[in-house]
Amino acid sequence: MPGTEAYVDTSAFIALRERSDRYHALFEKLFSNPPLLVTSALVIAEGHTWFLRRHGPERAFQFLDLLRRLGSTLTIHPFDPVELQSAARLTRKFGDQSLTLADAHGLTIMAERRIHACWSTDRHLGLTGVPLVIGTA
Amino acid sequence: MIRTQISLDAHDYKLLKREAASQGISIAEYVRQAVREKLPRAEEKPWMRYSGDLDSGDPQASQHIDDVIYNAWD
Repeated sequence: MPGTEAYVDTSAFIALRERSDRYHALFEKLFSNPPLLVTSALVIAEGHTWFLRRHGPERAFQFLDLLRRLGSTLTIHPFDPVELQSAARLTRKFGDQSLTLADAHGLTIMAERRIHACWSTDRHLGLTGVPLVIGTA
Repeated sequence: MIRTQISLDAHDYKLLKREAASQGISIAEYVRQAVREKLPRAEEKPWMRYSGDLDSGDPQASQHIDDVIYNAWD
């Protein structure tokens, strides 16, 4: 559904859960009444790793439960060989930006699905011109 | 915040004190976290039970992803 979806980056999930994060209030409000959300399979891996390393296995498991509870509100975009090639092109294009593969995949997804809203606190996700929600709030 | 009083039996209080100390937080904070986890939150949006359930004390937690995951800063 082009134009009606929002892309969700790892940082948005973290800001939702971390109540001392400076963007927590914003993401609490956004997740309280979300549009259809899209994310990358790599974001799921990143998020799980972040919660695992920062807060331990129970909190990491709860992150997976959070995703389960989002149900059909959240589409998880797979990372296949075609996506890999697209993301790889972006990491080369923005080679001076230390762009992770997860970020590159996010940029690819937003371009493919014509998503114009990006839930992220990571400026890398704004490299292709999609406005970050933290910049418009 | 609302200030309130609760009564606990001695055994529970002893366990509470020990658990809070082991996590490096106050008894009050431990109780707040326990209450927050127990109470239903916006059940029409079931994922919201995890909103604000963590507190690392870092206002830039969501901006320190690469250093935690990839052990590097930009």
